[in-house]
Amino acid sequence: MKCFNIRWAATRILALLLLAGFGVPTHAQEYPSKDIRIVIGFAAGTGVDVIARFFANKLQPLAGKPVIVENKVGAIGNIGAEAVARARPDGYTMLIAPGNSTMASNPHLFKKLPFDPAKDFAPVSPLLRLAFTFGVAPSSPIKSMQELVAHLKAKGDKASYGVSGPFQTVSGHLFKTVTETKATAVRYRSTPDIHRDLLAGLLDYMIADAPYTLAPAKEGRLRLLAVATAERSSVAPDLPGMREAGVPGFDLSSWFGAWLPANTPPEIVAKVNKWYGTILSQEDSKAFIKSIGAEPFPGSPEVLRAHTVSETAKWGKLIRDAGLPQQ
Amino acid sequence: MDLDLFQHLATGFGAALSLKNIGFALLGCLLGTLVGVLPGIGPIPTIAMLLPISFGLEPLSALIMLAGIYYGAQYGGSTTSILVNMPGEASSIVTCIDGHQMAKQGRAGAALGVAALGSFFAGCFGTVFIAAFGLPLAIFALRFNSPEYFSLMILGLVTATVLAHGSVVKAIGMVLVGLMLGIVGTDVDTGLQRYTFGISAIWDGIDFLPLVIGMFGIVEIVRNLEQPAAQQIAVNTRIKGIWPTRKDFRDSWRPVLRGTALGSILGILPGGGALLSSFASYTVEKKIAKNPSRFGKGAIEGVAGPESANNAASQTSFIPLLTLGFPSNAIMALMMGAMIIHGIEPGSAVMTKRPDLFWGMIASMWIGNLMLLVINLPLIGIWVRLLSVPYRLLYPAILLFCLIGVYSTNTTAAQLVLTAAFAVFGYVMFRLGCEPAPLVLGFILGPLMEENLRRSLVLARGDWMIFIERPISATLLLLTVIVLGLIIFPQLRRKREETFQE
Repeated sequence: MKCFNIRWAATRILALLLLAGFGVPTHAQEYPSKDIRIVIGFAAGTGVDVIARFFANKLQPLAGKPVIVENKVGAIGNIGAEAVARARPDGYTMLIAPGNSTMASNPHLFKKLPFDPAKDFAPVSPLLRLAFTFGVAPSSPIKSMQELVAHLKAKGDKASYGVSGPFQTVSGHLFKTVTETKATAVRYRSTPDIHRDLLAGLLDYMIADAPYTLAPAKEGRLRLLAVATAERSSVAPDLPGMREAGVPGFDLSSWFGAWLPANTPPEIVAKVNKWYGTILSQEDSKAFIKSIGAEPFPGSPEVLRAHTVSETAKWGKLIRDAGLPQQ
Repeated sequence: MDLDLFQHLATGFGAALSLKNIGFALLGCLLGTLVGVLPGIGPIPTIAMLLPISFGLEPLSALIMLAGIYYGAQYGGSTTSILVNMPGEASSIVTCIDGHQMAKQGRAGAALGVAALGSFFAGCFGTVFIAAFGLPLAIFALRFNSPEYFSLMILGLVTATVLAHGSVVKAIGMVLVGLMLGIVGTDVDTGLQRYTFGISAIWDGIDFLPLVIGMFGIVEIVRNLEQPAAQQIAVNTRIKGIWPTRKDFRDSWRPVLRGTALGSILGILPGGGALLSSFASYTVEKKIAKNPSRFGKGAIEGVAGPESANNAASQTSFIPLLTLGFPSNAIMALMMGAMIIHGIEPGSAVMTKRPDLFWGMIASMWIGNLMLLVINLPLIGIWVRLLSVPYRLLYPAILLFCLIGVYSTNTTAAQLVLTAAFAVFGYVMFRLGCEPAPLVLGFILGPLMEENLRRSLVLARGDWMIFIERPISATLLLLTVIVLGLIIFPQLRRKREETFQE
């Protein structure tokens, strides 16, 4: 009898597990019927984290279910992306990531990437663009990109600039190639550290994201010379774009997107895409995005797919040219 | 200047003392105490999680709450250090050394009381210090660049050997092991992996939490379980009173003053300011004590000094952010993010354009410290009684909280495996009489030192003179040489046996 009971219990548990695991089919009409997890590959408190939590907060009323941010940190975002690539394609596990890095650069920076950016994901929506800016110390006599280039040419390899992370490394290298200058890259762990050494006169210039640089520039602790995109940006309308500043052939920006695992039902992808479209058109969202020095980048899943493909090719070439090592 | 200061503080208290803002200060302090007490769940994820919620608040209320979490966690962190030998964050590691010994001698209440009162005094002083000297100090801190940091880290590492109450050789050995562990991960300079053996969990380096939870918390549990059941209470002697005695106060007021001074100054420096200040305070107390052999065995000065230092430092770490817009650590970077999102550009303009906000925040720090004292003093009785819970019931709970804390940092199981590995390693080291504190200092300062060394040399194009040509760096190196001299040439020391080899 006892034996029977155990077997009965075991069967029940097995049945329950099966039900929980495979039994419930995902119907797009019912989606979402439970909590949605947004996975990010960066730590709590980072820029990516702030952006993801903003969208999670905004998605919640649209989804009618709690939206939770989970930080799976490591390997420049690879660990988080891998987690989503391997997740069940039911719309309940979503990735928010800086696409230029996780999707477009990492395939060129890692010998063995634990996911395939093209095959493992269903693109949902592009989210926003972050501009990067060129800056010098406010005490410096340099007032324009042309003057910076002249200064760097005169100083040769005695000039220095600060970088932290692949974006700045690649953009610094591209800048040197385009302007035929020879400054030395000095590596830092964070942008404020670069800024400190710039103010101390140890560095000649820095390239950093607008979310960081706009505030000190207004305060007079940094002089911005241009945005790193070809044309002017709405983020800092007073700054010339690179073409206007006299450095043609330079056009880099960072952008964010949302992805679901590959094979997610297209109806679910469409539903989530619509949510993001709604969020990006709300006035308070626009105000928030502007306050962090970014601009909204709405679009269809197809826009995100095409953008990822073209960016992957572009960053691949830049990374090879910059001679970054593969891990 | 003086009159202005009072006027400014009046503005600040006017803004911070509204019922709503007091409520947010209380909420922040409570949350901070909670995350400080729970091992592993630190202030950074808490503030990050609350950030979106704070969008809807008024800027001052939001900042007051977030700041409350930060220094509330500093208070809470010392509680677990003292009670269960588990540092919640780097700056409370030194508190473990003597604080937990005090708890074992039945003096947990005294340790907690002195920690709370010392922290309160340091917090009050830090607040006035910010109000009076904020801007000039921040400008001085800007003169710390890569070469200065390298020299400061060298000084910190050399003095770390004084932390051990065993042999100097073992302490140096542990610092070196810490340095090696700190090197693991992606090299900032070249982007190449070092000592990761293809394990993706440690690509970004070994995390702080698995290391300290393993080497401090879990080793402590194993050590306790080794003892016969009758003595298995975390405190194996009778609890002697809940409050610090008159003698305790006599012994601790000078360390509190010295710790506050050290913390106020070191806190301004970006990077390891708060951490260095608590180590430095411990070193100073041990060095000038009449009988240094008591350290590591429950000396109240070893709790009073460092606890005051780290709290003073956590106050003054706001100076660079509030006055110049430079975040001095990860939490300040988050606060800066919060300010930007609320449309406030951090920097000197805050003081002139939004004096209510600037001075309101400073006033709220004092209010927050007072609240923490009020929250924490009654809790001491509860904490101390917690220790009389049979250890067989207590330790599974401690272990569970440890593991939840470690897992929640980045929700990967690999962190738990690392924790287990460090627990085994820590136990072997304990058996060999090697102490974990110098290792942790090496682990944290090592990578910073290496980074600043290489960066300075790249900036100077390989010229080592950069460390001597710059006056601040040269002074720090000179201090290092003096400390080294004291260690190497025992005849220069008055009480050589007592200081290192007890």
